[in-house]
Amino acid sequence: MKKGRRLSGLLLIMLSITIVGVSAYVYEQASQTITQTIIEIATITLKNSALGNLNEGETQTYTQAGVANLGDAISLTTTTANVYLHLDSDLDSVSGYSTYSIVVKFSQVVGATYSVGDTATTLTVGSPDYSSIDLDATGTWAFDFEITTTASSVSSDTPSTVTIIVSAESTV
Amino acid sequence: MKSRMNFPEIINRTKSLVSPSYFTLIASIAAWIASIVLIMFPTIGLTTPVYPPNPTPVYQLIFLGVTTCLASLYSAILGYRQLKE
Repeated sequence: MKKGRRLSGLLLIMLSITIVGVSAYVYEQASQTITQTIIEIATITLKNSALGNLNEGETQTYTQAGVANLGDAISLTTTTANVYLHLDSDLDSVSGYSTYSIVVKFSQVVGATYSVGDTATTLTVGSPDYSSIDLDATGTWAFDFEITTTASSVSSDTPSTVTIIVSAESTV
Repeated sequence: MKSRMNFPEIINRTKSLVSPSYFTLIASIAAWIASIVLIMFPTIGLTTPVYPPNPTPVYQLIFLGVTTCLASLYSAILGYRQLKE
Protein backbone atom coordinates (compact mmCIF):
# COMPACT_ATOMS: atom_id res chain seq x y z
CA MET A 1 0.00 0.00 0.00
CA LYS A 2 2.78 2.36 0.95
CA LYS A 3 4.60 1.40 -2.22
CA GLY A 4 1.54 2.32 -4.25
CA ARG A 5 1.30 5.73 -2.62
CA ARG A 6 4.97 6.30 -3.18
CA LEU A 7 4.61 5.40 -6.84
CA SER A 8 1.60 7.66 -7.37
CA GLY A 9 3.41 10.46 -5.53
CA LEU A 10 6.39 10.14 -7.82
CA LEU A 11 4.13 10.02 -10.87
CA LEU A 12 2.39 13.21 -9.79
CA ILE A 13 5.69 15.00 -9.29
CA MET A 14 6.83 13.75 -12.69
CA LEU A 15 3.59 15.08 -14.14
CA SER A 16 4.25 18.45 -12.54
CA ILE A 17 7.69 18.62 -14.18
CA THR A 18 6.30 17.43 -17.52
CA ILE A 19 3.63 20.15 -17.50
CA VAL A 20 6.28 22.82 -17.00
CA GLY A 21 8.47 21.30 -19.72
CA VAL A 22 5.70 21.06 -22.29
CA SER A 23 4.56 24.61 -21.53
CA ALA A 24 8.11 25.93 -21.92
CA TYR A 25 8.38 24.24 -25.31
CA VAL A 26 5.00 25.56 -26.46
CA TYR A 27 5.87 29.04 -25.21
CA GLU A 28 9.13 29.02 -27.14
CA GLN A 29 7.41 27.91 -30.35
CA ALA A 30 4.62 30.46 -29.85
CA SER A 31 7.09 33.28 -29.24
CA GLN A 32 8.79 32.50 -32.51
CA THR A 33 5.47 32.82 -34.25
CA ILE A 34 4.73 36.14 -32.59
CA THR A 35 8.02 37.72 -33.60
CA GLN A 36 7.62 36.53 -37.16
CA THR A 37 6.18 39.64 -38.71
CA ILE A 38 6.71 38.87 -42.37
CA ILE A 39 3.65 37.16 -43.69
CA GLU A 40 3.43 35.92 -47.22
CA ILE A 41 0.01 36.90 -48.44
CA ALA A 42 -0.10 35.44 -51.89
CA THR A 43 1.83 34.20 -54.85
CA ILE A 44 0.31 35.58 -58.04
CA THR A 45 1.04 33.90 -61.33
CA LEU A 46 0.47 35.75 -64.58
CA LYS A 47 0.54 33.58 -67.67
CA ASN A 48 0.65 35.16 -71.09
CA SER A 49 -1.88 32.63 -72.32
CA ALA A 50 -4.40 34.31 -70.01
CA LEU A 51 -3.71 37.63 -71.69
CA GLY A 52 -4.26 36.47 -75.27
CA ASN A 53 -2.05 36.60 -78.33
CA LEU A 54 0.61 39.22 -78.75
CA ASN A 55 2.47 39.59 -82.01
CA GLU A 56 6.13 40.43 -82.39
CA GLY A 57 6.88 44.06 -81.71
CA GLU A 58 3.32 44.73 -80.61
CA THR A 59 2.76 46.68 -77.41
CA GLN A 60 -0.36 45.85 -75.54
CA THR A 61 -1.76 47.13 -72.29
CA TYR A 62 -4.03 44.92 -70.28
CA THR A 63 -6.40 46.29 -67.67
CA GLN A 64 -9.19 44.80 -65.64
CA ALA A 65 -11.63 45.98 -68.32
CA GLY A 66 -10.21 43.36 -70.67
CA VAL A 67 -8.89 40.81 -68.21
CA ALA A 68 -11.17 40.61 -65.21
CA ASN A 69 -8.59 38.82 -63.08
CA LEU A 70 -6.41 41.92 -63.04
CA GLY A 71 -9.06 43.75 -60.99
CA ASP A 72 -8.51 43.49 -57.23
CA ALA A 73 -5.60 41.17 -57.89
CA ILE A 74 -4.42 41.80 -54.35
CA SER A 75 -6.89 42.29 -51.54
CA LEU A 76 -6.04 42.25 -47.88
CA THR A 77 -7.41 43.44 -44.58
CA THR A 78 -5.08 44.97 -42.04
CA THR A 79 -5.91 45.17 -38.37
CA THR A 80 -3.03 47.44 -37.46
CA ALA A 81 -1.73 50.64 -38.98
CA ASN A 82 1.48 50.82 -41.00
CA VAL A 83 1.70 47.43 -42.58
CA TYR A 84 4.26 47.44 -45.36
CA LEU A 85 3.47 45.52 -48.49
CA HIS A 86 6.30 43.98 -50.47
CA LEU A 87 6.05 42.79 -54.04
CA ASP A 88 8.74 40.50 -55.35
CA SER A 89 8.46 39.35 -58.93
CA ASP A 90 10.62 37.40 -61.32
CA LEU A 91 10.13 39.90 -64.15
CA ASP A 92 13.89 40.12 -64.64
CA SER A 93 13.99 36.52 -65.78
CA VAL A 94 11.08 36.69 -68.23
CA SER A 95 12.19 36.23 -71.80
CA GLY A 96 10.41 37.11 -75.06
CA TYR A 97 9.53 40.69 -74.15
CA SER A 98 11.37 43.91 -74.75
CA THR A 99 9.17 45.62 -72.19
CA TYR A 100 7.04 44.15 -69.47
CA SER A 101 5.67 46.41 -66.80
CA ILE A 102 3.07 45.83 -64.16
CA VAL A 103 1.45 48.93 -62.70
CA VAL A 104 -0.08 48.29 -59.30
CA LYS A 105 -2.92 50.69 -58.57
CA PHE A 106 -5.07 51.20 -55.52
CA SER A 107 -8.61 50.01 -56.14
CA GLN A 108 -9.78 50.15 -52.53
CA VAL A 109 -8.21 52.40 -49.93
CA VAL A 110 -8.62 53.29 -46.28
CA GLY A 111 -7.90 56.76 -44.92
CA ALA A 112 -7.00 59.89 -46.82
CA THR A 113 -3.38 59.23 -47.80
CA TYR A 114 -4.18 57.41 -51.02
CA SER A 115 -6.98 57.62 -53.53
CA VAL A 116 -8.52 54.95 -55.71
CA GLY A 117 -6.62 54.86 -58.98
CA ASP A 118 -3.31 56.09 -57.52
CA THR A 119 -0.29 54.12 -58.65
CA ALA A 120 1.25 52.25 -55.75
CA THR A 121 4.24 51.01 -57.68
CA THR A 122 5.37 49.84 -61.10
CA LEU A 123 7.25 46.60 -61.50
CA THR A 124 9.46 46.41 -64.56
CA VAL A 125 12.13 44.12 -65.97
CA GLY A 126 14.79 46.46 -64.57
CA SER A 127 13.02 46.85 -61.24
CA PRO A 128 11.17 43.61 -60.53
CA ASP A 129 10.75 44.07 -56.76
CA TYR A 130 9.17 46.79 -54.68
CA SER A 131 9.35 47.55 -51.03
CA SER A 132 7.25 48.96 -49.68
CA ILE A 133 3.67 50.18 -49.98
CA ASP A 134 2.76 51.68 -46.63
CA LEU A 135 -0.77 50.66 -45.67
CA ASP A 136 -1.11 53.33 -43.02
CA ALA A 137 -4.64 52.66 -41.81
CA THR A 138 -6.57 49.61 -40.74
CA GLY A 139 -9.13 48.17 -43.09
CA THR A 140 -9.42 46.46 -46.43
CA TRP A 141 -7.05 47.42 -49.20
CA ALA A 142 -7.20 46.21 -52.79
CA PHE A 143 -5.00 46.68 -55.82
CA ASP A 144 -5.54 46.39 -59.55
CA PHE A 145 -2.85 45.38 -61.98
CA GLU A 146 -2.26 47.02 -65.32
CA ILE A 147 0.17 45.20 -67.54
CA THR A 148 1.97 46.60 -70.55
CA THR A 149 4.01 44.26 -72.69
CA THR A 150 5.93 44.49 -75.91
CA ALA A 151 6.84 41.20 -77.50
CA SER A 152 10.33 40.82 -78.90
CA SER A 153 11.27 38.61 -81.87
CA VAL A 154 10.57 34.98 -81.25
CA SER A 155 10.72 31.98 -83.56
CA SER A 156 7.59 30.33 -82.20
CA ASP A 157 4.81 30.77 -79.71
CA THR A 158 6.51 31.51 -76.41
CA PRO A 159 4.71 30.79 -73.20
CA SER A 160 5.84 32.90 -70.28
CA THR A 161 4.90 33.13 -66.68
CA VAL A 162 5.49 35.93 -64.21
CA THR A 163 5.28 35.17 -60.53
CA ILE A 164 4.71 37.87 -57.95
CA ILE A 165 5.09 37.12 -54.28
CA VAL A 166 3.14 39.48 -52.06
CA SER A 167 4.16 39.74 -48.44
CA ALA A 168 3.38 42.06 -45.55
CA GLU A 169 5.61 43.22 -42.75
CA SER A 170 5.30 45.52 -39.78
CA THR A 171 8.62 47.20 -40.52
CA VAL A 172 9.99 48.77 -43.70
CA MET B 1 -36.34 28.97 3.52
CA LYS B 2 -32.70 29.10 2.49
CA SER B 3 -30.33 31.02 4.65
CA ARG B 4 -27.70 33.20 3.04
CA MET B 5 -24.05 32.20 3.42
CA ASN B 6 -22.06 34.55 5.57
CA PHE B 7 -18.66 35.83 4.55
CA PRO B 8 -16.48 33.30 6.47
CA GLU B 9 -18.59 30.51 4.97
CA ILE B 10 -17.94 31.81 1.45
CA ILE B 11 -14.21 32.00 2.22
CA ASN B 12 -14.21 28.42 3.54
CA ARG B 13 -16.09 27.10 0.54
CA THR B 14 -13.76 28.93 -1.84
CA LYS B 15 -10.77 27.56 0.05
CA SER B 16 -12.04 24.01 -0.20
CA LEU B 17 -12.73 24.53 -3.87
CA VAL B 18 -9.22 25.70 -4.70
CA SER B 19 -7.26 23.66 -2.14
CA PRO B 20 -5.21 20.90 -3.77
CA SER B 21 -7.37 17.88 -4.49
CA TYR B 22 -7.77 15.51 -7.39
CA PHE B 23 -10.72 17.56 -8.57
CA THR B 24 -8.67 20.77 -8.72
CA LEU B 25 -5.80 18.88 -10.33
CA ILE B 26 -8.02 17.50 -13.10
CA ALA B 27 -9.68 20.88 -13.61
CA SER B 28 -6.35 22.68 -13.85
CA ILE B 29 -4.92 20.07 -16.24
CA ALA B 30 -8.02 20.43 -18.41
CA ALA B 31 -7.52 24.21 -18.49
CA TRP B 32 -3.83 23.70 -19.26
CA ILE B 33 -4.61 21.41 -22.20
CA ALA B 34 -7.17 23.94 -23.42
CA SER B 35 -4.56 26.70 -23.35
CA ILE B 36 -2.13 24.57 -25.36
CA VAL B 37 -4.80 23.68 -27.91
CA LEU B 38 -5.66 27.38 -28.20
CA ILE B 39 -2.07 28.21 -29.04
CA MET B 40 -1.19 25.25 -31.21
CA PHE B 41 -4.36 24.83 -33.21
CA PRO B 42 -3.82 26.73 -36.45
CA THR B 43 -7.32 28.05 -37.01
CA ILE B 44 -7.79 29.61 -33.62
CA GLY B 45 -4.32 30.10 -32.23
CA LEU B 46 -1.03 31.77 -32.79
CA THR B 47 -0.08 29.91 -35.87
CA THR B 48 -2.86 31.50 -37.90
CA PRO B 49 -1.15 32.88 -40.98
CA VAL B 50 -2.68 36.33 -40.79
CA TYR B 51 -1.11 39.59 -39.79
CA PRO B 52 -1.27 40.48 -37.01
CA PRO B 53 -2.13 37.30 -35.12
CA ASN B 54 -5.70 37.35 -33.95
CA PRO B 55 -6.80 37.02 -31.17
CA THR B 56 -3.95 38.80 -29.42
CA PRO B 57 -1.51 36.03 -28.52
CA VAL B 58 -0.40 37.76 -25.34
CA TYR B 59 -3.63 36.76 -23.63
CA GLN B 60 -3.20 33.18 -24.78
CA LEU B 61 0.31 33.12 -23.35
CA ILE B 62 -0.88 34.56 -20.05
CA PHE B 63 -3.57 31.86 -19.96
CA LEU B 64 -0.90 29.24 -20.67
CA GLY B 65 1.29 30.63 -17.89
CA VAL B 66 -1.48 30.69 -15.28
CA THR B 67 -2.78 27.21 -16.11
CA THR B 68 0.76 25.80 -16.16
CA CYS B 69 1.46 27.21 -12.70
CA LEU B 70 -1.81 25.86 -11.31
CA ALA B 71 -1.58 22.39 -12.87
CA SER B 72 2.08 22.00 -11.98
CA LEU B 73 1.56 23.27 -8.44
CA TYR B 74 -1.46 21.06 -7.71
CA SER B 75 0.32 18.05 -9.15
CA ALA B 76 3.46 18.71 -7.13
CA ILE B 77 1.54 19.28 -3.88
CA LEU B 78 -0.55 16.13 -4.29
CA GLY B 79 2.56 14.14 -5.20
CA TYR B 80 4.41 15.47 -2.18
CA ARG B 81 1.45 14.59 0.08
CA GLN B 82 1.39 11.04 -1.30
CA LEU B 83 5.09 10.63 -0.65
CA LYS B 84 4.80 12.08 2.83
CA GLU B 85 1.93 9.84 3.96
